[in-house]
Amino acid sequence: MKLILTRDILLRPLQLVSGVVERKQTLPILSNILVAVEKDNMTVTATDLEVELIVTVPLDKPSETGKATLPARKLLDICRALPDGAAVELSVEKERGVLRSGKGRFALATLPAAEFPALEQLQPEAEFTVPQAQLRRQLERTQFAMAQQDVRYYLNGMLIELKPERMITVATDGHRMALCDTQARHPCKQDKQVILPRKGVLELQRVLQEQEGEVTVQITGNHARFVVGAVTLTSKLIDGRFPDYQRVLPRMDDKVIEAAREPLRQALVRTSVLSNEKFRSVHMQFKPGELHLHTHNPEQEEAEEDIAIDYQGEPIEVGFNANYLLDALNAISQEKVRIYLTDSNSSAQIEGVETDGCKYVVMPMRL
Amino acid sequence: MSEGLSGLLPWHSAQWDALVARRHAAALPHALLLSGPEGLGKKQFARAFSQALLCAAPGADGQACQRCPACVMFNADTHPDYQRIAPKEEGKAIGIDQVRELIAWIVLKSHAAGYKIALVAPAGRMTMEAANALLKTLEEPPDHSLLMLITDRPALLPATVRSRCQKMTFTAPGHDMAAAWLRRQLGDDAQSAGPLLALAGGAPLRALRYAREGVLDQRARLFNDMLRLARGEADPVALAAVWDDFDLRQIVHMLSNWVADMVRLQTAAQAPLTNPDLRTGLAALAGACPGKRLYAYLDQLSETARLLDKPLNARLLLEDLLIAWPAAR
Amino acid sequence: MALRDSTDFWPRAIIHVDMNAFFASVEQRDFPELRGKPIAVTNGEQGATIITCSYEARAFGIHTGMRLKEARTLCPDVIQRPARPKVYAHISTAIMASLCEVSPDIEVFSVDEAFLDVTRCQSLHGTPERMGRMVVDQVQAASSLPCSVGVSGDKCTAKFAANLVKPNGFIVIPPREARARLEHEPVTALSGVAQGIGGYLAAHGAHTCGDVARLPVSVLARRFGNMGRHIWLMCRGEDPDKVSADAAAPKSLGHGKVLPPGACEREVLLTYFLHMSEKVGARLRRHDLAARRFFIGLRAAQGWIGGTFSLAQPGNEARAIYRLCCAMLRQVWQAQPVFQVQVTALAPEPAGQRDLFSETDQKQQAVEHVMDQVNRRYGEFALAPARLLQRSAMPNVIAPSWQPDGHRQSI
Repeated sequence: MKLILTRDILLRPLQLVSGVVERKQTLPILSNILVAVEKDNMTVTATDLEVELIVTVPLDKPSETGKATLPARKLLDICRALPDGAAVELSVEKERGVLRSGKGRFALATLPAAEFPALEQLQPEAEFTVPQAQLRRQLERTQFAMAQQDVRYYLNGMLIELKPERMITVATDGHRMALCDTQARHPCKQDKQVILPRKGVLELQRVLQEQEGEVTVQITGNHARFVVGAVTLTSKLIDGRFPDYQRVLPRMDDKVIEAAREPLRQALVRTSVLSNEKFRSVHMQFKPGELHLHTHNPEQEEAEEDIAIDYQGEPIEVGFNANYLLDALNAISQEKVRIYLTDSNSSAQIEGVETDGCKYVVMPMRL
Repeated sequence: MSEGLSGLLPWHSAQWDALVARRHAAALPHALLLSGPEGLGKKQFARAFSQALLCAAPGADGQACQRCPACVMFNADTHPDYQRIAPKEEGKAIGIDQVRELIAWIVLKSHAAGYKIALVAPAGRMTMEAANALLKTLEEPPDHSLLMLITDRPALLPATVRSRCQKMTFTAPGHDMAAAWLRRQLGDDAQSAGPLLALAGGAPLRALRYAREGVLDQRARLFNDMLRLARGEADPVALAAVWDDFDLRQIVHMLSNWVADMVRLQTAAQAPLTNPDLRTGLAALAGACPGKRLYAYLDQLSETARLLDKPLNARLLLEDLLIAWPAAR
Repeated sequence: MALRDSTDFWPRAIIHVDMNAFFASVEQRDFPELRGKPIAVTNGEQGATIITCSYEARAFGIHTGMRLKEARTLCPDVIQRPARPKVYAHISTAIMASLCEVSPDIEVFSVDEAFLDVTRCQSLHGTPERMGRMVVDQVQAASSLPCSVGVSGDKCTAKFAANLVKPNGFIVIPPREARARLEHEPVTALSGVAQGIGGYLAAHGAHTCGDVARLPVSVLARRFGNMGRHIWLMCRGEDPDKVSADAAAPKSLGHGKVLPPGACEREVLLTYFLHMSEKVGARLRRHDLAARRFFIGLRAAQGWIGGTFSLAQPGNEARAIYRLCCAMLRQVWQAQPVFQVQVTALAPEPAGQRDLFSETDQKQQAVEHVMDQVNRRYGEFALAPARLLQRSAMPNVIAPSWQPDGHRQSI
């Protein structure tokens, strides 16, 4: 294997994949990246066994094909410290990866490429494209509600559901749920559900930087792959069934409240300062035309605030974790929000007044 | 690895054939409990079967091909669908964090769209919390997953864990098979196969380990010291200092064997012994002390064995044992 | 503001108050005919073990933890009294609340013991000695019960001091004299120094606090880590332990019960476990707490069997806790005879957040909610699962670290 390129062209893929290079080093080969040269391009692969990232770089100088694994961190540190635009030659000589640049020569240890646990070609059951901006928005609007290290392991990720002409993302930690439903062209005739693990979601968000362009999505029985320009991200899926999220949506015919988002958000931020640090509970009394917020904490401090709302129904009092409401209000970008309530023990649904496919469901706290 | 130390061992064939048959019948269990004395190669068996299960082109006997990409990764310990948990340090427990990590891995779908296999060895080292955490996975295992629990002391596992595993028991091979295999491994030193096997309770791998650790020499020296102790030529506390660096478990094991032989000799002078090479010395010791004291000493030895897992001062335990040596005058 | 005289102002001032033979003293207070007589308080009429005994009984050599039978051989006239936990809890709460008048920095160490940090009250109330007297007066006013009060510059010395003047005594050891006072005392006289450590120290020729204080701290630190360092400081009269007055949620919350002799029937144990699960669940719910981890234990001859069992989600339902008990019986109990059951919620945390996909039965939650309301009004177990009709009248075990319910709220 031998290739010649400039420092900057080598540096970018190294930076992109460094996020998934295993830091714990349980398997030494996982702290390496796989560099493969084929015809006129080079691929750089890193994996932590959960998420795999491949960056493809076209080569314009003549090169020799071959594969090698090289220590990711050290290679990155060397490249970073080379001057901008420096020419770099990377080759494998006697099982060592040798990088030459200017008068410098760096010989790195390698591990056999065949031992690197890279994924083979996938046989996708579904393949389609969506605009990057749309997928990014869907992740942003729902990702915060994913569970972390929950024993209900299927909650530690995001549901991606394909329905005819639609793609729905859902995340929940059991206390609240975020859902985003958008149009998508895909070949699936039947409903399909996969759960992308938390790590895969976060890495995918990192990869979806651009506003322009399309993402190719490939789904197999075990993996989901996203091809974004030169970057291919593949994540294992969670082996489990996501709970029936439809079941926990409130009826939406009972108590309907409309409020300006920003004043509500600010009032919640202010009052929650004096809420119990762990509970974060805020009592909300919805009355015709007015919402009364009340918090207190073990130090006997308390906060109260009234804000105007558009509501004509029966007075109702509900307790919520202020953080959950704030997460939802932050994810909504519209000026006005609508809140659906049933009773003080049932879930509340929050959404922007203009339908955009995003819904937030929050379970109350006992008063 | 030298010949015979990877892959299948000659005395594994019955268990192997049973598992391969179940694999062909698509009737593999989700959880297997491999139990049997230490030194029979249970881990090696589990590894070989795991590799065969992940191999792209297993042979007619069900063994891994050793050549396909999966086998290359497996042999390099980098196969993503195979995990093993063991105590992080020698003698420590398998903690709940390790089990949680294992569960986080096993609830993800497999890398190669085949099996995902986890080995827990020694399973008896799991803390109660760790075992409880594993219970849920044993109850509702993900598809195409296989958990292999390996233990030489199944009683250390909670009944609920045991009852959720298919059991597969390993017993020591016949003496001829064991001795033949061991002689091949020992090469030049083949004649020590007999005493080594006797010392290892017939477990060939354990016997081989003893050979590498020079346990036979240690045994000869310890026996000589115990004779001196009996004759009053050595001081127990000074001896304890000499033997302090040696594995106390090993010492307790050897002493137990000798005392058991002494009890046998008191019953019948020609009784078959675990340590026939030491017959003369053992007979002299047996003649010098009352049977009651031998039994009491056996009790003390088993109590000491029980205490070995606890963080007690090994030197003190050893001193106690040497002071109480029943043959001492 | 009072003048801060440099000789009178202590850098740290700690008061330890210990109610003498607390339960026995309450009995003697409430039943004048018991005064001056040897009293042994047991768990109910059937209790065989002495929880505490009066000083008159102690004179015969009777002590806490002794079997009643044995006590009778020492003193045939000893009077057995069944414990009245509710009364003790009430009195303890009143005492602890009254002590807040002296200093808000109070650590309720157990039902009959407390530490007060009065360092910052010196300019308000005067010398530590004066505040020690205030403590005696407060206890007297709140309960008319005897107590021992030790005043010193650290927790360990204050407790040691209070121990010197039992019963009904008062003592001040100024911090600058603490080391000299401890010099010839055996290390094991200090609270928290176990026999094992004492044995190790003795092997190094260190028997008294003075001996230990002269050892290089590294000797103890190497062998016992932070605990060793702590002991070394304690022996110098410089116990760094703080009086922790935080009103944090209890670290654990549990109930135990002594079993009738020879109990080794599964059905009997299940009834006891259900009983304890109901109690722990109700108490968790009362304080709006939930726990994920529970200690489920049985005491057998060789010690506790059982261990920590976890729910998938933090919970406070008796049913869920009871299921853990059943799992424990299946897993670790091998039909050996046992003397006591224990169910303890470990690290309870605030409950209240409802779950979208709660696996717990909504109906069951509603049932338990109604049960709680009825029982709060008509008394514990006015409404209970039918199985508990067979529950025993065996009294509850009072743990040494037992604290009155909800005292933290009332303080």
